[in-house]
Amino acid sequence: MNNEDNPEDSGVTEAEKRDRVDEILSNRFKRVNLEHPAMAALYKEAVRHWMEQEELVER
Amino acid sequence: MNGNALYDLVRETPQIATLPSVYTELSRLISLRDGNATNVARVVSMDPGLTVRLLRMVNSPFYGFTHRIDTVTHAVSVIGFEQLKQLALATTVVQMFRAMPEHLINMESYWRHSVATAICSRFLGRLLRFNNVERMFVTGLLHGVGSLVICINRPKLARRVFIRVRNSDQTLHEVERDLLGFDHADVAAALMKKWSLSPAQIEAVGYKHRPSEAPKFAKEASILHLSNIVASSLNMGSIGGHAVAPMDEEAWESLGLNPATMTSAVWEIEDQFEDLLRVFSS
Repeated sequence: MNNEDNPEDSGVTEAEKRDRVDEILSNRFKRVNLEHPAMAALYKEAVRHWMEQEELVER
Repeated sequence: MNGNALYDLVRETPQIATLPSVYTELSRLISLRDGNATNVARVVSMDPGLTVRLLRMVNSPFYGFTHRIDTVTHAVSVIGFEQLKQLALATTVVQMFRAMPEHLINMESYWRHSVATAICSRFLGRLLRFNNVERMFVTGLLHGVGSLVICINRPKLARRVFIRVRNSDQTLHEVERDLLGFDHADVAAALMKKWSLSPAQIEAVGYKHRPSEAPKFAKEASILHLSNIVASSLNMGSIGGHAVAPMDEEAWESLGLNPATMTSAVWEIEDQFEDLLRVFSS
């Protein structure tokens, strides 16, 4: 089982990881109109993408 | 900054102002439309490194050919002259910037963002039934080269730009415009004009931050604009700033895409990213 399946293995819970992802993305999307359906769809997919990253290090 | 000053900036960068002679000869031969695969292969073979990189690329999962392609002649027959030219351009430019000093910009991060943008540009071009999707791929791959030119020629100003980008909500091009009077898109367009790339590529890059204002190639500019936004939203590097630029909604409308396209675009990038990054890194 990897950390993605069980985030507790890395000492980071799923909720903590989600908080960090929200922080990263709210900074990145600060000036984006998330009311627009295309940008809302992209934001949703970006959350999924970042949650699947093994480490939340911005590259 | 006027156009002449931009071209001066490009000219002051002799290591990248001219494309290698093998590429220019290949481009000339293909533009004459009387080249055959054997002649093209002969020109490419003058640069063994280029030959290896081209074959590695056409044999990558990105193309998905079930059989192995061992010669440039064979590669031309399966992907076509124009596509081969675009791939040659892509690998040539990546090689030219390989020796870039990294004290200002993280080149791994830079190419990660460029490759992600390129994959998305190709995907949207294919979705919109463009004839030459490889051209869109290369446009995406090269859209940030202006940033590298600024780092080479104006390192002190580039450092100030990056510091301000890190400490503000402004996007990279907005800060560049404030501090330099032009942005990396202007520089990239000037460089691509110097390289005699296609007008569609030059305009797409030059107008990537305001695609709905592009006079002739608004669709290409809009695709690049969206691809840059999609790539910036993912953990796939940057050309100097992580902020996702506000979308030009008029450009979005003009392409007639469905919002679900954004989801598909991210999946396409994720699916092809590692393979292509390996091709360009080796």
